[in-house]
Amino acid sequence: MNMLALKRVTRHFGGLAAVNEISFEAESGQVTGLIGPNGAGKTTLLNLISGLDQPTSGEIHFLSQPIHKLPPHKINQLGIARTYQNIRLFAEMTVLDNIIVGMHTQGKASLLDAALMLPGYRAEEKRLREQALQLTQRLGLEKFKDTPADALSYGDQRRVEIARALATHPKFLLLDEPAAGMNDAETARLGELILSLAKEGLTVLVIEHDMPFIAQVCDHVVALNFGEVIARGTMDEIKANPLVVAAYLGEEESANA
Amino acid sequence: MNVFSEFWATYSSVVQFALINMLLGISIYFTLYTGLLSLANAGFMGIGAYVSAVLTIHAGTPLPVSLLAGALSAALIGWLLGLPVLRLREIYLAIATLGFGEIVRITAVNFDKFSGLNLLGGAQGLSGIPKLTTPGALLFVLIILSIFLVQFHKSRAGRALAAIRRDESVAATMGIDVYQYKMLAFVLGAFVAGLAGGFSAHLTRFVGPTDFSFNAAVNILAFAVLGGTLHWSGAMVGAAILTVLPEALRFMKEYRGVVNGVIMVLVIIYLPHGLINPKWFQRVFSKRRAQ
Amino acid sequence: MFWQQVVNAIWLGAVYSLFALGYTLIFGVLGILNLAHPSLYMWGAFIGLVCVTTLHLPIWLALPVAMLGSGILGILLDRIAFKPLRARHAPHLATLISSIGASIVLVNIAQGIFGAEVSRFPFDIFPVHVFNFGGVSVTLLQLTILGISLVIMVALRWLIMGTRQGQAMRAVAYNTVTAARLGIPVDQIIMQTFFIAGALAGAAGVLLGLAFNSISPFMGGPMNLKGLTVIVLGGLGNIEGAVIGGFILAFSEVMSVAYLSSDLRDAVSFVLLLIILLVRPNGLLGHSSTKRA
Repeated sequence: MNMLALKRVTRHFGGLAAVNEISFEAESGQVTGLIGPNGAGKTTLLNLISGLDQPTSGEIHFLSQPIHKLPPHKINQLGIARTYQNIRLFAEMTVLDNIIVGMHTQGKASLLDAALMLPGYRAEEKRLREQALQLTQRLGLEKFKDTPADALSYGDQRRVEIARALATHPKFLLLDEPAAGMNDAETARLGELILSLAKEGLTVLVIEHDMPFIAQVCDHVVALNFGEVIARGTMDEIKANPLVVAAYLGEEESANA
Repeated sequence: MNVFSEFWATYSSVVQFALINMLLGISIYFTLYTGLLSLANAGFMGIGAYVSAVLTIHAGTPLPVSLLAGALSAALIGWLLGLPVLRLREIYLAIATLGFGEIVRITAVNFDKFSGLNLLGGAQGLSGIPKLTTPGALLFVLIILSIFLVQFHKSRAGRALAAIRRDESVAATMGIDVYQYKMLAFVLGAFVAGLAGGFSAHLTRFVGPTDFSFNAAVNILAFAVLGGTLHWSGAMVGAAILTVLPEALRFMKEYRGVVNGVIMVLVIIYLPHGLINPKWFQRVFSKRRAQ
Repeated sequence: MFWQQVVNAIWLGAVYSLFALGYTLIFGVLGILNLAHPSLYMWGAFIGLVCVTTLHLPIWLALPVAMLGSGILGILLDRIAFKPLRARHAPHLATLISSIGASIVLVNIAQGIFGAEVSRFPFDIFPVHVFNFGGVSVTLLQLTILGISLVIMVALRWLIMGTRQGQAMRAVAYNTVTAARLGIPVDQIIMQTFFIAGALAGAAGVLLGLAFNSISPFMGGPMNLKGLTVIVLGGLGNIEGAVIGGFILAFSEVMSVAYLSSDLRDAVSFVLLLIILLVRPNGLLGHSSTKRA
């Protein structure tokens, strides 16, 4: 069963098509990789799926329901969470507070409950805090739980973003270059984490430039260039695809120029 | 005792104005805490003042009922105004709310003429309001609101507003309904401003249509700028200082008003987080602990 | 009756446009909503008044002197209230608040010097002459105001679109970093922009002061909302938009007073402002010509 289906999704900025008639599916319980040179439209696509941007045309379906016209908070409530390429944590908030903000939809206590310090509110706060602590443990962040997020290293901040996204209890997790700024050991641990999350039933879509990492975690890879899908399949198939090779070679040439 | 009663005789009204302004400080804190620059609070204050005064005069309601009705009316109008304007971002919200006090003024001036009733006193304003505001009542409300604010920050709603202020797109992808929570902050601010308006009407015994103009809105903003919005007490401290300061600056005569403006510019440039910055307290405390 | 209203709206619209041009210019070039702009307008009026009453200058000399004065005030305003914020890339709202603070200072200093009451130009400062065109009367003053406003607007348009100076201003508006890399003296261009904006406000101050013959420290207040309406109507930062917006507002005001009720005049600009913000927040002319809004 596919969890997410993109049907001829297009996004124009002015006259330019950042994303052009893209269609693919992400299978439930699988890790799908999204690769492609810079400017291929990967982040635009993530913004469209998470509702921060709307497609010019085309449809996005999540669990067989159209979501391309929904606001981002509704999309999150349906079960899609994400991280950001340029880390966007709540900078001065502590790691634990960042995660607790992510638990917003799991709480029910109203402002009145909080103002009157009703028992229900207190119990809920305790429960949210405990869940947030568990997440810090799972991601190896427990020693930073009271540290302001902007005081952490790049790699640690990326993990806080993942923890915050997981805090929303997603069914589908979008990761935008989660390994950027991580060292090899951190990247390896991140790979294990993603695999264990997938084993528990979470569906993942991950953008990454680190090909060994993609090969390690992804069941299925979609390659983009100039806003279009140029290849899809397993990593071995993708690696052998001449279009993909050309796209990356082209990038290296322009980088060398 | 004698010294105190002498002081009180001279300064009781200043103290009560300071307390009312602290309420206004809280009212603008709600929106600024959410990252919204709204200049509508003076207008909300006007609505609270008129509604509560009319009720007291014509229906003879006791002060708490008049105040509550005034505050609820302000909150209702706040909700109606918020429906369109909270869709706007940043500077556009400031522009859209800037003229709201003017709308309150025009409505107040013309209400009697168009309705045929004799309620708001037109351009002359509404006078003869019984003086029911007491320092005790003001303090009571301020303390309740302070407790509310402390709890508010520890609540789900408070965290959502803090998240919206920092990055509203990210907040939205965490499942937070940004528009609804902005509305909550806006309406809470309107409610408290309405409350302040009611207290003010029953203290000065007068409500004038020009009292809630752009200048009034700017004064309220100045409280928050001076005190800062990193801590909930900031705007209250700012309000207290800016109410008492003109008394201390009597020697400057007609140039007294300059001080407000100078403070705003200096604080924004040299002290962008305002006077009350929790980080400083933390630093002071951690130094002490280290010793 | 109707044509009389049209004539009234035209010269009023010209002055509104003149006032709003500087307002929108600052936004277009620097992205600053300068709420102290109406205070420069008020100062322009007072400088003109002092020229006429104390220095006994003729009015045609008082106007450029007032423009020079309020232009210099504009530069001072930038140095004191905006430049430090620009240096540390402070958010929009900080600049907005700083401009509010600066306007309080400017108004209160004026109140201290000139008093809170309304001042007037001497009665004989401008020859009273009424032209009559088939029942529609126009004063020489109104015609002069319209003429001067149009000349200044055309000159501004030429400056921005037709000179190296204007080219540099547009480059700064597009991107200060790129402009600096191209060797454009960004700081100097910003200073000139503030001078021009201040001078335009000052000209509007003198002309409206003459037209209504009423000058007070608080005359900027009502212009604040009107000016915002005008520049939002035209699109923040859009020069042509500000001119069109000025005439739209003037027509709306004059016609609503003539055919609805004079009580509603002050509400017109707010209602227009709200409608345009909700329907077309980028203004009638769409995106801004200086590419910032």
